[in-house]
Amino acid sequence: MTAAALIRIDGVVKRFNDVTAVAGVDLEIGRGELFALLGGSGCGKTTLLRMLAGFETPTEGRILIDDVDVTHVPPYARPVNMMFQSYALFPHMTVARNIAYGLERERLPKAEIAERVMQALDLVELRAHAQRRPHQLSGGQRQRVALARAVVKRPKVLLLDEPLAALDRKLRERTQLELAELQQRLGITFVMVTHDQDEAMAMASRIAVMDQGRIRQVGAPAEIYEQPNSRFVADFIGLANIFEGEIVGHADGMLRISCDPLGGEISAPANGMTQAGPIAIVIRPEKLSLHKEGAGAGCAGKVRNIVYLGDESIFHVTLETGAAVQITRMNADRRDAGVIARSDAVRIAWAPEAVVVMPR
Amino acid sequence: MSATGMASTHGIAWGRRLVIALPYLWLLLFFAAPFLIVAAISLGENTPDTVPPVTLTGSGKTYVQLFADALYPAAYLNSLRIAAIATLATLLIGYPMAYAIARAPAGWRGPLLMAVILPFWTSFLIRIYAWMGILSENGLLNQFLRGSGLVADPGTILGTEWAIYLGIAYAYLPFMVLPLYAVLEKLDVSLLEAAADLGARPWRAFLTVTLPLSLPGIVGGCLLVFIPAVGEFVIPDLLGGTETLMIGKVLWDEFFSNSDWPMASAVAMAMLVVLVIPIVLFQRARAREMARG
Repeated sequence: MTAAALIRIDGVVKRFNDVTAVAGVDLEIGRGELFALLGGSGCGKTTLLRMLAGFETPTEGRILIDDVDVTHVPPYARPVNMMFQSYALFPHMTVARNIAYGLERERLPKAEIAERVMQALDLVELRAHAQRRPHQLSGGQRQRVALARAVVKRPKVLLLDEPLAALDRKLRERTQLELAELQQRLGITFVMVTHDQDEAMAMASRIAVMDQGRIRQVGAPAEIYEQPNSRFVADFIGLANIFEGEIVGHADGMLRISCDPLGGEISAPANGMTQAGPIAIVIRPEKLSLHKEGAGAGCAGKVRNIVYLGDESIFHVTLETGAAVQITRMNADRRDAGVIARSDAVRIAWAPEAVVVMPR
Repeated sequence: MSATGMASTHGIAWGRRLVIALPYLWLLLFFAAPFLIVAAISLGENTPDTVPPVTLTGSGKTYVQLFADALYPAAYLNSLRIAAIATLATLLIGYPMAYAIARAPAGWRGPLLMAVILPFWTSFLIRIYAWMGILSENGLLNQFLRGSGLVADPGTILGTEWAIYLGIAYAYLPFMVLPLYAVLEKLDVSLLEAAADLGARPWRAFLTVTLPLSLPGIVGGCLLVFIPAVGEFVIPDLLGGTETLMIGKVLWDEFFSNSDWPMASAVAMAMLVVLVIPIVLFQRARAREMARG
C-alpha cells in the first residue's frame, strides 16, 4: 500500500475560527483507487476534499500528492481536478467551451484542444450537444459535462463532491456503474465524497467512514460491513442489531460472551479481542434466521411488525428478554412472506461466525 | 363554476386591471403629455411678444436651424464625450467597490451599501457646491497641496473638464455600484473555484468568469450614469468652465436667456433621440442574444 500511495494525508487538522472541521486525519490513497469518504453532514468529509483541491489550507499537517508536498500549493497549480456538487458549469459558455476551459489555461495548441474536447465529449456521449449552453441540458447531461470538464485535463486525481446527489434515483443507480467503469477505463484515481452508503458500497474500492472530523474506519466495502470496528461504523453502515455484553472466556479462537439481551451466553470469533470485559456485538439482520416457534437453539420472540420492501421484508421481532431485533428475509418464494405473520411467536437463530465483537 | 365564484373572479380581474392601469396613467400624465407638449412647441415659432412666447405653426424650422448651426452638433458631441469619459471613470471606481461589498462578510454588506447611498441624504446641489469649495483656487485641496509642500503651484481644477468628470463620478457613483453589486452578489463562488481548479489564476478567472457574468450589471450601471450625465446641467454649470459646451447648458440658455421655447424644445427632442436610439438598439441586440440562449 505505502509504496503505491499517490495521496498521503499526514496529521491534517482544519479549524474554522473555533470550529474544528477536520480533527487529525492520516490517510493514504493508492494509485488507481476509487476511494470514498463517507459520513453524515458536518463530519468533515467535504472539508477534507476541499483541502485536497486546494480551496482550504490545513491548519496543521500536510498533504502530498505523488510525493510532492502540495499543502500550500494554490488550486490552479495542483495536478487534481474536481467535479463540484453543483457542477459549477460556466453558464455563459457552451458545453465545448466549458470543457476547453482547462486546456486553454495550459496554453495548448488550438488543434489539440479541439481534439481533446471532442474525445471528452465522446467519452460522455454528448458530441451532439457541444454547442448548447448548460441551462439547455438536463440534470444528467450537466453531470456528464462536469465530468468531461474535470477529466479532460487528465489529472492525477479526480475529486468528486457528492457526484450523484442531484440525480433522481433510477439515473443515479445507472450512473454509479458508468462512473465506476469510466474510472477503470481512464485509470485516474478518484476520491469521492458521499453521504450515501449505498453509493459508496457500490462504487468504491475502499471507504473511509468519517465522523466528527475523524476517520473511524478505512477498508473495502465488505470489510467495513462485515467487520465494523466500532458501534458507530456498525450502526452507520446498513442495518445492524447491536447489543452489549461481556467477554467471560475464550478457547480455540472463540469467545464466550455473556449477552443478556440474547438470553445468556453466546459464542463468537475472537477477532483479536480476548481481554475479558464489557464489549458490544453486532449481528447483521440478514445473518439471522427466523423460524416458526419450535424446538431448537436461538431465542424466542414475537413478530411486532413486518416491513415489506418487495425483494425482501424486514421483520421486527421483540425477544422474550425485551430486546428488539431486525431480521431481513428475501421474498424468494411469493408465498414465503405469508408463512410468518404479525404477532406470530417465532424463534431466531444465528451461526457464531455471524457475531462481530467490537469495543463498547 | 358557481355564480358567486364568477363574481369573485370578475372582481379580481377588475382589480388587476386597475393595478396595471395605474402606472400607465402615471406615465400618460407625467411623461406622454409633457412630451407631446414639448414636441408641439419644438415645431412652433418664437414670438417674443406673446405669452407664452410661442406660436404653434408646425413648421419644423427649428430643426433645420439645429443642424445648420455648428453650435448644437458640437454641444451634443461634447456632451456624449464628457458623459462617456465620466461613465468610464465611474465604472472604474464603482466596480472594485461593488466587488468588495459583494465579497464582504454578510453582516458588513448592508452597512457598506448604506455608506454608498448615504450622501443622498444631503441635497445634490449642496454637495456640488461643496466640491466648488474643495476644488477652487484657494480651496481645501490646493491649501492642502501647498501647506504640505507637495506642490508649490497646483493650478486650479475648478472650471476644467476634470472637475466635471469628478463631479459626475461622485454624484452618480451609487447608480453604478448598486446594479453591479446586485449581479456580483449573486455570482456563484463555486464558479470561481471551478476556474481556479481548472488552472486559472485569480486574474484570469476574473476576466473569463466574473467579468462576463457581471456584464448585465456593467451595462445597467453605465446606462444609469451615462443617460443623466449627457443632459447634466448643474455639474458642468457649477464645476465646469464657461467655455465647456454641454447640451444641458445650451438648453438652459435657449430657454432662460434667449426665451426661445421652440429651440429649447427642439434641443430636448434631439437629445432624447440621441439617447434613445442607441439604448433601443442595444436592448434589441440583448433580446436577440437571450432568445438565442
